[in-house]
Amino acid sequence: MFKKILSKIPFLQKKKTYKGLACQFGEPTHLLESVKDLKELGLSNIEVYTPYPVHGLEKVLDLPRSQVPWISLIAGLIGFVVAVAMQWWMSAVSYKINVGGKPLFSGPAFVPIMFEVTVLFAALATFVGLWVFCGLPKFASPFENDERALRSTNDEFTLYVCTSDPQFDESKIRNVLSSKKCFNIRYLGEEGE
Amino acid sequence: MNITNISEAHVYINPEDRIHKLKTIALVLFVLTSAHFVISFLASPKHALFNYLLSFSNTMSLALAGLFWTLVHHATKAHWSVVIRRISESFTFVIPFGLLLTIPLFLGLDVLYTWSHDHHLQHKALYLNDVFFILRTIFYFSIWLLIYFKVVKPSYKQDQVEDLSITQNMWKWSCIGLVLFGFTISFAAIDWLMTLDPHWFSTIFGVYYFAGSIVAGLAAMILIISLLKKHGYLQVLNENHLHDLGKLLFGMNVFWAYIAFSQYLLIWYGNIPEETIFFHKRTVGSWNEASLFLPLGHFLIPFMVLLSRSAKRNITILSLASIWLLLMHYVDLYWLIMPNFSPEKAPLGLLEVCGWVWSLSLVFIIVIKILGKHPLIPLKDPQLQVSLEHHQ
Repeated sequence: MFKKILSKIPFLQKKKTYKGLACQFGEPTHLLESVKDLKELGLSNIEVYTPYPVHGLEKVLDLPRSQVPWISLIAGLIGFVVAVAMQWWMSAVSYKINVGGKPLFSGPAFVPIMFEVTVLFAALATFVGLWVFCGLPKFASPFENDERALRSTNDEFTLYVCTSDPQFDESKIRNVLSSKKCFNIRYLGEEGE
Repeated sequence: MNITNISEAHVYINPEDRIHKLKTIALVLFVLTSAHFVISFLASPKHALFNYLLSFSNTMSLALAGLFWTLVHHATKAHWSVVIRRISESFTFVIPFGLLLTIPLFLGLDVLYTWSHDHHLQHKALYLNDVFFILRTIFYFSIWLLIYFKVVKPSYKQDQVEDLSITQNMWKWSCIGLVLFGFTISFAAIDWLMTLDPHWFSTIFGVYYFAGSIVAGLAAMILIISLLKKHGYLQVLNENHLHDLGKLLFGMNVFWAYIAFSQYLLIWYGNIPEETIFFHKRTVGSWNEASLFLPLGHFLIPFMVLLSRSAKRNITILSLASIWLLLMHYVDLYWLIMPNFSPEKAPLGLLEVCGWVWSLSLVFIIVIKILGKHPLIPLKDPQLQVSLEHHQ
């Protein structure tokens, strides 16, 4: 389980080849159709870059559910335990003060802080978890020198198939793409180590 | 307007459907439990009246929650909830009946409320007296009926005429309605429930009743939706709608816990006898167990169950959680009301069970009756198409 999660963290992995066949789309519906057809070729390493979330894309791409909620849950629980332990140690062990005759360890008074620390831990872990799983920060990308690919942050959609994919077959992919409304089919990036 | 995906068969309840058989069963249950109420009243009027107040507040909870969710839908101009609006609207049809249900309360004021005969409460008599209590209750109902006529009724009129101004009027009135609703439900809760113990007061009490009510009402709506879906209706309502309903149920339940704890924390911290008496009363005898059961059953268990995404998208788990929360709201009201009847121990017998069944069967009969009369979806709502295409 742990190894499985580690294998999903991009920046712990060895550098892969970043060379791939890319093309541009003007409409999300055309992109969805092409991804569906490419998936039927058995390709597993398809990447898609869109300027906004395209509904249904996660289904055609067969993307697994994000692992981030688990990180949030675990961090939240840790935060809860930390808050209980911290308040118990401070109020009942280290510096005992009688407040209004209440017990030194009084649950109701501690609840707001338990809640706050739980939320704080969960929120921070979610933020960090999201960065880790998205491979951020990322300082280099095969896309940064390609003007068309940069349009995928504005008004176009980029589809990208990595050459390292075991099922990669250029002629077949070109065949599928040629029947679609896509343009600017070209190679992007360089072979890595 | 081009409406896709809707077939007539999914929008109108077939008059010969099994749902109507369920309605007959509910009617039988309602008659039986009503009879039990009458018999218990003859044997022990006080016990029966307190249980009646409990059933009445539960019934009104569901009715008012229906009104609240309809108002919120319009006030926020929500798109996604157009397909579920008819369900919340159908609950508001209980409100006119609620006015009739207050009559036994008015007749039993002397038994239920000590302020109606206690001379130690002379200084509160200006507010707490029989006539003013009855007038106030009638006033609350007239406000709710006003909102009902301005926001719920036009929605059914829109089924006949395609008119955008109807929607715009509902938007306007729901904003006014929400303000009026907030005040009236708060005062109603104070009048009906808090004055059972006229020496005690809590400024958050109205919100407490409101928070519990909207959870119970939402749970009831989810159960009706699940029933309709099971019988082949409302197929346009997809799991994204369910997910949103689940999120609301989860969130509102946390809101209830937040309000309940806020009330407890301040009273616990202040430690003033005239305030702590409320919680002290609820630690005597078996009331102590009831008090511990409430945070566990009303908050912790539903919280854990509804936390995950897949649970909220699963209609079976969501329905089970809804049944549980519907029960827990009754336990909550029971915990508020019954210590004033039996301070030594929590009474639990046939009458208490009957009260719950009575309340739910009454609401069920009315809701199914109304749903059977009109299309299950507001077919001419200008935002319907967006709701049908609702995705994450």
